[in-house]
Amino acid sequence: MHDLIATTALGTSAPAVDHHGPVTLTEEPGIALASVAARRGGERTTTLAIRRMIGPTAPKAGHWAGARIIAFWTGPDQWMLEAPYDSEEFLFERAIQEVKGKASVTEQTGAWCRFDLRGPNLAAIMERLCPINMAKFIAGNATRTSIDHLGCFVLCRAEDHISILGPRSSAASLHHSLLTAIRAAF
Amino acid sequence: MQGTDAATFLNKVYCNGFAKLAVGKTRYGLMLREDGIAMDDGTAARLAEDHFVVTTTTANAVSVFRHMEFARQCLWPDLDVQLISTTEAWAQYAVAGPNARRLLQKIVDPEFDLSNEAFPFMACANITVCGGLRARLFRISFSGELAYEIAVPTRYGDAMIRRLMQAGEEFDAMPYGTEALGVMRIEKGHAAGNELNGTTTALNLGMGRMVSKAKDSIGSTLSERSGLNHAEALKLVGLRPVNLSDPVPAGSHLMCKGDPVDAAHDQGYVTSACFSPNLGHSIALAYVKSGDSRMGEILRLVSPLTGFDHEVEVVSAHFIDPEGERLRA
Repeated sequence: MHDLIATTALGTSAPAVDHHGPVTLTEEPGIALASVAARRGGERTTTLAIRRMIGPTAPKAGHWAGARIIAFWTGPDQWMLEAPYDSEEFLFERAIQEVKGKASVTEQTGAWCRFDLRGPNLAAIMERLCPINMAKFIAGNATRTSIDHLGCFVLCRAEDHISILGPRSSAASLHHSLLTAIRAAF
Repeated sequence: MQGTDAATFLNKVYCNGFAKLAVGKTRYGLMLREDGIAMDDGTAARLAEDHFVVTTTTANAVSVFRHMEFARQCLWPDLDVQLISTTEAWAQYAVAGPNARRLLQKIVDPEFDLSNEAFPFMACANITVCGGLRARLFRISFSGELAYEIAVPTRYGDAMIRRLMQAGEEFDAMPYGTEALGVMRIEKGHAAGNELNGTTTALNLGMGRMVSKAKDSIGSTLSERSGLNHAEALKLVGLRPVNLSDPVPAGSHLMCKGDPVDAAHDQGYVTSACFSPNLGHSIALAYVKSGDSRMGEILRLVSPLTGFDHEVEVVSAHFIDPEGERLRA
């Protein structure tokens, strides 16, 4: 076991938590991520591998699915897997075994930071940040969008719970954007 | 970059050959635009038969990624190749200098042999560090020194640089920035953005022979246009001031002695310049007409706007360690 100590995307040892009005914004460093992209002719094997890992069928465009391990759609025959870091640090290795050479798997754990918004009327915040049609963005939806020029994934986990994944090295900028929008909305 | 056709794909987007690159090896690659002009350079490390890690120049990372996605989706949709950016997934440090290997031997787990025989120049490997953390090691060198680049998962980037500095104390290790790197690469004659300025070809860069004729690649055909290959084509050279205390400012133009200073008599221009602490005087990289056959010639370096007018000698662009002994040490 190595002896290096991890930092969060905001550069601290403990994740940031911000409260404003009815909304809580939390930094969520405890996730492992792996990208899975089907190779030519490997589409069916890949879809079945995703299903074995997450439970339900591999999600279609604009959606996420799963429970402990989830997958969200990122492109044709392409998904991102997300799981708790503590138990699934080697999520990418597990995915490599499952796809049996029929898909390209890439560890993405360090590539993204995740912030979660919890509270009522989160649409008021998100509408200030990105062009997602929040009236139709319901639990189970996931999409890629742009927030302050940063390419982000947004997942609606529940009516009162939204996750935003953004590029890790721009975590502080994204955090600032989110806080500004929260303060503007509430 | 992964997929059963990844090597075939790289062979098409780089003008030099990649199909036969062995697993565990890294190669310098030059990428041309469709019109034959040099677009970007970087390295591709073959971690497995169907897996490469491709690097670009920093400023062109996005445009090269976009270019490759276009090539993958539109030019050769039948090739089995998948791309994803891993720039943010890894924190990567260059460890450079004569003691680089000794320092890394304190960090890399002992089952990985870093000797020059086992891990030579341009080697690459998946390794572990500090008692089991997964990492990647590349023996590549932009500085021209014995050098490695070591990558760890981003969340351990902060801990890794602290550990490297701590382990490097006995070797007087110090952080170096892009200014120092800029000086070292000019001393070494390595091209950068100033030389890959959107108007220059592989021939201009002194890398004309890298454009493989044994295969087709983006830009290779149009790079053969006669206008890009005439006898007076600009060639990358080094410049040294005749009076060693003179500067060699970037942007200045070169004229033959006795010629009028005007555009019609222009012999070329300086792209990168610095004071070389190793040589004790200013040096520069420049594009000069037929420069490769004018070694030793004295030219006037002029800047009519600032009144600058000094003599410089055309020399090899490789000011330090031209044989590459340091980086292979």
